[in-house]
Amino acid sequence: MAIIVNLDVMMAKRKIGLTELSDRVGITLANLSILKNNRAKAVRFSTLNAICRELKCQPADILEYVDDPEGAALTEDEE
Amino acid sequence: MKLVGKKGLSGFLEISMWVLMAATAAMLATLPWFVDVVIIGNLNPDAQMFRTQYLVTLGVSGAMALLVLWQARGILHNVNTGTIFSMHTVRLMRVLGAEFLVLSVFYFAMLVFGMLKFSIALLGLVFFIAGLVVFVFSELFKQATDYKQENDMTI
Repeated sequence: MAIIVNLDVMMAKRKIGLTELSDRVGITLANLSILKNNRAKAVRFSTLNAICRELKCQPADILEYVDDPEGAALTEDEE
Repeated sequence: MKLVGKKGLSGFLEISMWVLMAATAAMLATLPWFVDVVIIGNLNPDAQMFRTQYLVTLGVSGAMALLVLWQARGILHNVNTGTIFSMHTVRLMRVLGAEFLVLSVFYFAMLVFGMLKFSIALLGLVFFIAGLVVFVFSELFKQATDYKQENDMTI
């Protein structure tokens, strides 16, 4: 996938741990870990909204697009 | 009444599968006696010449029934444990469909070799259609499993 989640970078800047962030955002630690490790398939706007609210940042601070030809090929195959 | 869950209808059905499997296994184990004493002895004394056909037809049908019940039990177990939309269920359904098709081929073969009446061999057609339907449903379950996985991985 070509979307990189830089949640760990933002968490380090705000000095907040995974457990505390998951409590504040209202999602499980397991799900937050999935998101942090780039294993999520999709993110709800409500989740993104809560994360940006707690980390006082913009979505672009957490989500980054990287040009990935292999990822694009996989997406075409999936379609 | 709850339909799904260990304390619902599906839970009762899973237990029923075990009972049916036990009954089928018992019948298979006593098949020669059953054919000799009950069918040939009591029901149709002139059927001695058909003893082999009875044994083969009932034996294969019983063995396949046992396998079909085992797959059905597995699917119901997944229903009761909340893992119905999983690749395990898809595999069970595909095996179930294959077993139905094997049964239909067996019944058609028995008809071709003149070992079964046409009315009984029609069961083969029923199993054939059932097998195809189960294969289609297994593909639907696979799609549902993919959707569930995607939903589970949506944070």
